[in-house]
Amino acid sequence: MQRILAQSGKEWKQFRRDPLSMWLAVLMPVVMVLLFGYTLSLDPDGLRLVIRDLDNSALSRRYVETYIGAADFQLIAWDSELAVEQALETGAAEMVLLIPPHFGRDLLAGRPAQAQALIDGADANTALILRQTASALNASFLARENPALAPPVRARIRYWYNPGLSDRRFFGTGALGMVLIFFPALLGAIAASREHELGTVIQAYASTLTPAEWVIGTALPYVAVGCVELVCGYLSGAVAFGYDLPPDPTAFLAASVGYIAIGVLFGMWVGHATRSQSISIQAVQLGVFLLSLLLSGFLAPLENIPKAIRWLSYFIPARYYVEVVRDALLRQGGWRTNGLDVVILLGLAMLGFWGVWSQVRRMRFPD
Amino acid sequence: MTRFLRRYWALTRKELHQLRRAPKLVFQLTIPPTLLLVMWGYALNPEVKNLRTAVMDADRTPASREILAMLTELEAFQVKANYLSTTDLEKAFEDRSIDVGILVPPGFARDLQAGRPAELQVIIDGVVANSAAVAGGYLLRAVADHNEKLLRRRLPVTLEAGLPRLGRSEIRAIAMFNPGMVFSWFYVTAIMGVVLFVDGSLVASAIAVREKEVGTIEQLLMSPAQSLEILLAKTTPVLSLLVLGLMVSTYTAHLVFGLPLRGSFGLYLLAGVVAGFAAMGLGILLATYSSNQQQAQLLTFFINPFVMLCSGAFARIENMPRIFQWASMIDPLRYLVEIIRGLTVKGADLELLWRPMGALTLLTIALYGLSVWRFRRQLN
Repeated sequence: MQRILAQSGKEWKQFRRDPLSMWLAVLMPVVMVLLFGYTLSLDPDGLRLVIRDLDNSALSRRYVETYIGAADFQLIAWDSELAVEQALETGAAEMVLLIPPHFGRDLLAGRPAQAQALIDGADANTALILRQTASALNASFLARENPALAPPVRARIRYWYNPGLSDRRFFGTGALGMVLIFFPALLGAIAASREHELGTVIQAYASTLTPAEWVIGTALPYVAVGCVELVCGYLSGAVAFGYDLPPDPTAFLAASVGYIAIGVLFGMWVGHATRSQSISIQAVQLGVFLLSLLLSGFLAPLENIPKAIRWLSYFIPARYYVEVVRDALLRQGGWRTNGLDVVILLGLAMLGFWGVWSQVRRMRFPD
Repeated sequence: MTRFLRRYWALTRKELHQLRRAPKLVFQLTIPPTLLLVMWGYALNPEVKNLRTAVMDADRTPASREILAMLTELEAFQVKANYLSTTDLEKAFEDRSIDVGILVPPGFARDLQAGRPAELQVIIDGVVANSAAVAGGYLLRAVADHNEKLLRRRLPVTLEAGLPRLGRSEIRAIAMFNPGMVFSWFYVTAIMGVVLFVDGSLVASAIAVREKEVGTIEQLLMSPAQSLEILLAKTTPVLSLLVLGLMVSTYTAHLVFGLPLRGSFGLYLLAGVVAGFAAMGLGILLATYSSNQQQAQLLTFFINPFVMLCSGAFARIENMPRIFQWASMIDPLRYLVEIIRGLTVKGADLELLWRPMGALTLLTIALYGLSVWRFRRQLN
């Protein structure tokens, strides 16, 4: 044990000598959680609406007012000479509501009348939301003007665990998953490849420490840094998005430590395999950050990824960890609900340990 | 001026020569971005399929069966269980074995018959807020369609009752520029801009730091060249690769996702060149704050998420809190993505795009100028 700690102490001193890494280690989780949480929201706000009312009757004005009164819309222009296509092309408008002539007269005569919503389709996400909002507003106009046409069935949707349907909370937890694997992996990769570049790896070849002691001793300080990052990331999420630890946080904590260890060990493995700092940094960016971002189900449902690459996601630790974080911090879940994910993560950590251990063992001089 | 050009050309030739010996860089700046683009185009699809759904029919009438059959036919909801009590339903939620519960309360058919609003209760797991919102949208739309059908059936009764005969208002939503509502166009155009920026800044910072590490900077210092010339020459080959990468990925996006290029190709090239300079300016600037490769890489990796996420490439800028909206105004990527979308999907021209074009140019001049100034100060 003492020998392990001695190796850890040496590693920690090396890490401390680089103040930039120290700062980034603390800042990265805070910044990423807030940045991802705040900037990726698809919940629309201030949708730019332009109205062209070619009818200008009492009914058409009431129709238009239904839209203006809706919370999500921000009225940009009403009945101006603004060219419709152009307003959509420059992005000045996101939706143009076009009321045809005789709209009111047709309705009063009992005939159906059709208004048009021209939506900027370049952003299909927002376009989809606009289409749904428009049809809901149309229905509410109808129900108010003619109760006989009120919708017979009303669906009341409740969103459990997230009643306000805030996607900020959701993206923030995913960002925690990204940071906690990326930064530890980076530190592990730099530490291992630096040994090769500086030639100090010779000490590892000839050390009296067993390979297992050497690997644990080297990884330990970086896992500790990862745990500090976890605390920073969690606290910023708790303040900004109201994350809450579950009553029994042991599953979450076990998963976090295992996940951080996977990152460090994978980084060390890459560092020993490439023996070059800049190549291993690139490998970590590609192999850890991008793949985790893509294949963890953090940004979009995994179901939509073509089968040919979807199976890869089973090998991405972030897939399991993001699940655990969401379940623990947003639904207050524990072992009962995400025990399997935690076990898989711990298993992957063991696998990572085995990988680095056999690498180091092969590097050793024969006794 | 001619002297400037002569020297610039000589230095550029030296760099191009070096580039020929580094086919890895050529590969790195064209192939991975293209693969990335295809993967993201597929992966970032917000549509929702096969949510694990439980239904509970407490009414058990033809009307309740009809609406449940209609809803469970949707691709979004895959029925996993049929419960008889709300406690079972809630327990299934707590075990995370279902994502959606649809519940028809008792008296549903009676309410419908009597012309009172009949309620359908739906529970959706809201943690994955995006998918939940999309699924909720599908459901509301399906219920609206169903209502239409019910109303049409009911119409003769309404007429007999002598209620006011106001016609139905309808709304026809048309997605301009993208009538098929292809989701990937939004993300693919985002990735094209992001890749240009991330690659440009990473490679430029690597080049600038290498000069420092290897010590060739002293040599350059002795030459009559100005630091602007040195930097321009150093970055020209990379710039051409970045723009080449942009073209390759645009063409790939066209082949794979049918992304159109409706605007002017020349303007597209120009925007790519200007934005390439901005990206490299950012890289060089960060390099002047670092003393070795890893520091430069770490710093670039720390700054790039800001550039990426504040740009509105992935989500509307107006959905962000104010402070991020302000930050996006000085984000060159914001304007690049706006131009890319304008020229590909929307088919806009310079007359409509002069604002983002102008902003991008100004920011590029500022960023590149600042980096040249910092670079020179470092030499002295």
